[in-house]
Amino acid sequence: MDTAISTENLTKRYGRARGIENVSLEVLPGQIFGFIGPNGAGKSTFIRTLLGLIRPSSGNISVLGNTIPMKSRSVLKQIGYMPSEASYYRGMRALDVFRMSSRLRKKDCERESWVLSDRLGLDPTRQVADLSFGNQKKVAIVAAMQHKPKLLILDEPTSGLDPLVQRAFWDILLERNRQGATIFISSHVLSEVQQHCSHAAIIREGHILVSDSVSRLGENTARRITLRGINELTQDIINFPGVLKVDIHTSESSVLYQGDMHDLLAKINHLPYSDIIITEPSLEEIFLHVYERGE
Amino acid sequence: MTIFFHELKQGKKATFITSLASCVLMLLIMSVQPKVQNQMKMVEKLVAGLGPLAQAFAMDKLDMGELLNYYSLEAGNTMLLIGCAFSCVMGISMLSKEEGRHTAEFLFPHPISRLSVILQKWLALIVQLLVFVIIYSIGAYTSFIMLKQPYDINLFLKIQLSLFILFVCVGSICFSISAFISHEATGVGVGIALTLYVMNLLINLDVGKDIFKYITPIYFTEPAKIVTKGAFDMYFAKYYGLITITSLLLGTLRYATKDLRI
Repeated sequence: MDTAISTENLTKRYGRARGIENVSLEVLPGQIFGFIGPNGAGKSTFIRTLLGLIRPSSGNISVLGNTIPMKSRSVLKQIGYMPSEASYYRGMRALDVFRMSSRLRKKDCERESWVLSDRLGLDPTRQVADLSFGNQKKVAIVAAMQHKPKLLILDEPTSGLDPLVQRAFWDILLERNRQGATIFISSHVLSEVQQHCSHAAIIREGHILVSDSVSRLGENTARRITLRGINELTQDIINFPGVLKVDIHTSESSVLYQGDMHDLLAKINHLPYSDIIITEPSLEEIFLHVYERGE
Repeated sequence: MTIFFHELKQGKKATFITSLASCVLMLLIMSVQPKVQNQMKMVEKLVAGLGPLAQAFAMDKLDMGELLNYYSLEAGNTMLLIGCAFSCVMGISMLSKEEGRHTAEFLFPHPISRLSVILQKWLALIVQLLVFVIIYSIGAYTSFIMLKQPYDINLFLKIQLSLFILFVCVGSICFSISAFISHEATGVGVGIALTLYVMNLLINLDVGKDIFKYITPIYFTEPAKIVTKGAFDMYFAKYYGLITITSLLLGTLRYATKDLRI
């Protein structure tokens, strides 16, 4: 098995409506892969196609070395999936959800479900319907992880979780990754992708815009140049080729720039700034920048 | 068989409440039978005065003074309508509720084939219908013992069996329709049951009989017809058996390949 997830020109259309278009992506075993995109970009469509919940219009999918959807069943034994908003059957306690999931997998996960519930601060004896949104998320996390899958597919897992639980969640996730699990995580929270993921892909309007290591995504794009002590910039700088974004504040001004740094520095050299700071933009900035430009 | 037992658990309240409520209604209807028997002349006049209404409910074909005749016309007909509605409502939501209640995203990422889900859910539906018929039949049998009147037990069993066959048939057809929709459709289920029932009333009135008898399976399972003829019409039993199997195959094919709406 060379890849944990591999898609080739994967397309899913809903009649005339767009789902995903020619998505080619590779996730290697052992990676923590971040999948970033706004609502409606096609993240969930991509994930549901991987799981065999929906059928692709065209293209190829391989998950853990098995072709999807033909071998979905054998693949699903090794996958843990957490939907962004999980719904469960009426009248069930969290414990019943875990037991039903275990029985469907023909695997005894009772002990692990209690351990995970304890670490996340979840009382599994409570009715799921009575739980808060955050606690229902915990139920979904435990259900996805209790059978110790080789591949975890998590759709917006941390939204609705408080910071302490998020930390406990990432501790468990990183532990599982160290034990060999591959993790595919879709998220809006770019800081957590930047902090925890080794690789990431950005999807927009059904197309993959960029897929690379998180460190290279930071390296290959623009820089933010902050000039302290000035609160205005001349038009020739604002309109300078490669300047993507200008921010002017009371005590400083900054530009997001992609191009030869020497050219811009020569241009701003005459400005009366007190200090100059050149930084790598955050993933958030890269994300927004890529979307704004539609590259 | 996880899904099979899960479905039984989820549906047990609806099954028992419907069964027991129908039983109480049937016992009330049967408790009036001795009075009807004692006032047969007046009842006959009343039935004659009903004209087409009596014909629609097949009251003109049987002597209501007989225990089994009364049961088939009054209690049997009530059970037929309630059971039909129950079968349709249970069947029409069996598959589609997973999408309608968004539980499909929990269920289907598990290593279970859709074929297995269909089979287990269908079996659960059949067991629920069987429980309904058994509870109702026990109630009916108890009322017969209490009324202490002679009746043909084989014919009684045939009536109950024909009703079970009817429920399996309409329940399965609605189950198959469930594969084509992505939301709960209780109203559609009730609508189908009422439509089939009304079609049978029209058949009894000789309106559109040649068409409707091929649409509503009530035509060959109506209790009054079983009592009159003493047996099923095997031609229609085979015909509706074929319709049921075909619809189940179509439903399975659709559900096994459809994109789940979540």
